[in-house]
Amino acid sequence: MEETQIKQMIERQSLHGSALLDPRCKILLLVCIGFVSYFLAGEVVSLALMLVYGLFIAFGNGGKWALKMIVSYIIVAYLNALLRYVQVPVLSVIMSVFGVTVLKLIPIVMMGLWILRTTYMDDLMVSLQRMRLPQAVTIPLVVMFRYIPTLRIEYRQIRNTMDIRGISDTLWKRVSHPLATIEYILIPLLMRCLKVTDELAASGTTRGLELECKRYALRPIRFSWPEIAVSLLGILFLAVLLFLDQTKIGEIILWRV
Amino acid sequence: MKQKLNAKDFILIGVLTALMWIICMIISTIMSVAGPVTNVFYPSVVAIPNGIVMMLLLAKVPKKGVFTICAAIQAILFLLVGAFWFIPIGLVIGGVICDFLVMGRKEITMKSMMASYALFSAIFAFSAICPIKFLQSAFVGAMEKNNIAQEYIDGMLNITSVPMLVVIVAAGLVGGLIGGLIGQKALKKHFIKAGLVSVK
Amino acid sequence: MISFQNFSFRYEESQDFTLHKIDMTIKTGEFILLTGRSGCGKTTLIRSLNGLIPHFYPGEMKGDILMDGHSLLEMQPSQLAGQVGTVFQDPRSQFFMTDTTRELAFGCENLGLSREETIDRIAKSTKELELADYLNRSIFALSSGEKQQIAIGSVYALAPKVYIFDEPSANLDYAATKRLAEIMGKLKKKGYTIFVVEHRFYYLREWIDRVFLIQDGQIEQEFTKEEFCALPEETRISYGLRTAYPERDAEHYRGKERADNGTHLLKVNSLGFSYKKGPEVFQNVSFEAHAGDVIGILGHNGAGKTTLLSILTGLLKQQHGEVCFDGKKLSPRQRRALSYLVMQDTDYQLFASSVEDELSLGIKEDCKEKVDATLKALELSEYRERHPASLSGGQKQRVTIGAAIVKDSPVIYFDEPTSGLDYDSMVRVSRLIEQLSNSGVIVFVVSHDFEFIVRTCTEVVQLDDHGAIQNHRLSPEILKALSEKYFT
Repeated sequence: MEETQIKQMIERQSLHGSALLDPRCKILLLVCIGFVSYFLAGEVVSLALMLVYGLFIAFGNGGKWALKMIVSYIIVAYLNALLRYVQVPVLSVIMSVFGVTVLKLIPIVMMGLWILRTTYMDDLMVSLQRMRLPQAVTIPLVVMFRYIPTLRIEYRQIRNTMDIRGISDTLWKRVSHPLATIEYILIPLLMRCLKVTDELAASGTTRGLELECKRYALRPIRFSWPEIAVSLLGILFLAVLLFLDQTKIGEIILWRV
Repeated sequence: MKQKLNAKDFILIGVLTALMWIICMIISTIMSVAGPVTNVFYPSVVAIPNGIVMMLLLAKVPKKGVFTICAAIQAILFLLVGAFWFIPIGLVIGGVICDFLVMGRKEITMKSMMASYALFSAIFAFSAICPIKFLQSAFVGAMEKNNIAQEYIDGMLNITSVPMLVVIVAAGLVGGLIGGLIGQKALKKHFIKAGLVSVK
Repeated sequence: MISFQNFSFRYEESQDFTLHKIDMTIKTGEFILLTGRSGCGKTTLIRSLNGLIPHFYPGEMKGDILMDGHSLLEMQPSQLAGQVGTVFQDPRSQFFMTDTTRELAFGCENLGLSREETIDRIAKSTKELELADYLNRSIFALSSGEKQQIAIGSVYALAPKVYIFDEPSANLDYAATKRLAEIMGKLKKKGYTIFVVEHRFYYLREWIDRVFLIQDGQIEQEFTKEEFCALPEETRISYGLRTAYPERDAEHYRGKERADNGTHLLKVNSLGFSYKKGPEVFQNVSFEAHAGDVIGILGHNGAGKTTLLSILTGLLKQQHGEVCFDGKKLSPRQRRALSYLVMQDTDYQLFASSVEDELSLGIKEDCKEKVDATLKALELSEYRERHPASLSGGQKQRVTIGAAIVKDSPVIYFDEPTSGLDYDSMVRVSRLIEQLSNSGVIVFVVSHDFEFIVRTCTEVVQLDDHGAIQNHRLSPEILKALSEKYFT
């Protein structure tokens, strides 16, 4: 294969639309949503928040995910509304507090996991560096994202051995000796963590990980006009929602059942 | 003892924080599904297995800044999965306080590790639960709009009352102490015995 | 040119010097093999080449190492990043990014190269090492061999003049090893200086210029390629070295008979398995195993060896077929109780805080005498109080084998038992397996190590691409066919 062809392959994106925005812009929006979501009391405005950001995500490889979250939002909201017909003292109060909390969480989870899925690690490193965050934050963060999938495989391996050797292999043993079970799982896992750390660190330092040069990602990372426009629009929209929440629109009840 | 953190330390922090984060997610999910009452106590339960991990981390990297970095990373992750902004802020403040408590001295000891971990866990419990108190007015407002009976609203005010919050934070502290204790036992039994770390 | 001048090194935490007065001069473009028994100091030697010593592993140093007139010891590892490239043993734990393209770019990005420069370099690396098929993929979906090629590519993009490989073949199958040898050949032809630390060096014999045999931290002998390959068998074994011509073992093979005290019979009838939504991993797998058999399970990566092992040990449930032991059909739970799996990574298998406890863990009845006897048989008695994690790799493996013996499993499975082992440890594992089989245990061995298979197995089971399985008594003809498949 020719070098030009390979270069095209390297520059080819599997992401498009809003997923390609600067990670800083995505994180800014997330933080703002996190702030606003908890203070919105009205049902119409909360739903509007879900729908508009769902649409935003759908324009960046997140269509299915947004739909899933919107549907679950509506289901939870509906169930929560049903609660007022169940008159169990204390419990239904607690349930409704719980329900309301979940409703506040859903938009943030939708946005947060979408950001995780649509952000290249090197883009993230570059934009964190541009935010003047030190290596003390960028390196652990990158290592984490890479290590979490590995943890699952390693956990499986340890459980397999435990099953074969008859260590905490039945539910009964696990329930009756929870601390021993934790120890049997955690100790080999931690031993492995120490080893992986050594190897990763050796591999990283010999490839210049400790250098604090200005980094450049495979994609140009700039906070330019699309990012500025999206951030402004996003924040403006949230401000309008907050404002509407204080007025008549915030009082309309949707889930009357 | 007062050495600068290097890339290897950052990687260890990353790897172990990943583990603590996963444990935290699993436990908080299980406890949320189990019911809202258990939900508010998840920080204290999480503190128990994470005690083992944290004790290992502190013993392996006895340098200033470990707590802060570890807390900051968790804060960013909490932000990504939709926690209220109070948790990240609380975590970072807790991390900084604990760093000064443990690492401010010349040498790290078992006692200072335990004390700072318990404190950290209490601050975490506080910042995880506090939003409910914070949002009380918003909740009440929403409920009034939804024509929910007054007794419901009173009930809700009750479970987010100040004594309840104290109980939750105290549980966090106790969880941290238990976790620290178990962690140090495991440290002595395994890691110190195997010659992988040494603590005075 | 790199020259070691009377270089000695002692790790901070140890009492004795690991390296003593190393004196050697390597010319640019040479292909150097460093070999010797485990723990002889080979790894320490290369750590001092890539800057990990003294910055990463502090300690006491004497003498100096010069590269083109500059002292390596005064340079930070990050300064060396563009000059000395290292590929480590375990491909799973040396990547930072989650997709391949970015992993290739990782080093360049660390150096602060511009976007265009980075893309140029990784395109060059991709082209010259033929990695185009792996671009834009998730790292987690790659096999060990593929991961390692990406790791080499990432180092190559940094354009170092010196390459270091630390036991690169330990986690690879024969096809991936062949590919590795090809890549190394390319690097050599481009005139780079290459250091390889390796126990199983047969695949390098074409490329080697000089071999340094290291013993107890000193250079014991220096060979040219011709001298090294012509080393008489006895001398080679006395140095603890693996063979450079494993295929010759096939010619000298003397048939091994199973110890015929076998009463147990493990029968597998038309086993089939596929993962959810996935294609079939294999189908219609049938074979028989008698007590005392040592059966090698062969096949390239992805042929389903691990899946077969998981089903046989009861970790997975088969979709078709059955597994019978002494005529009784076994459920996965019963299979778990009967079998024991010695994994490649011993880290996952050690739970207790002393060797003694480790052996008796999970056994209900009193087994003190048995533990004592097993410790003695495995030459582990002096370590009984030690924490398993403080032992060496070979010792850890023996501890897990010990646990299998104490558990009294009639069927024991080994997954790649010889990866990263030197000659002596390999022979030791082979003997242990022979003892197990003599005592009437059915042993299955998944291995890519030809020398070890010839030495150990009585039968081989081959999994091929279509999941079909062939079950053969090991004979010179079979070995010949196998060696052709492996080495040509």
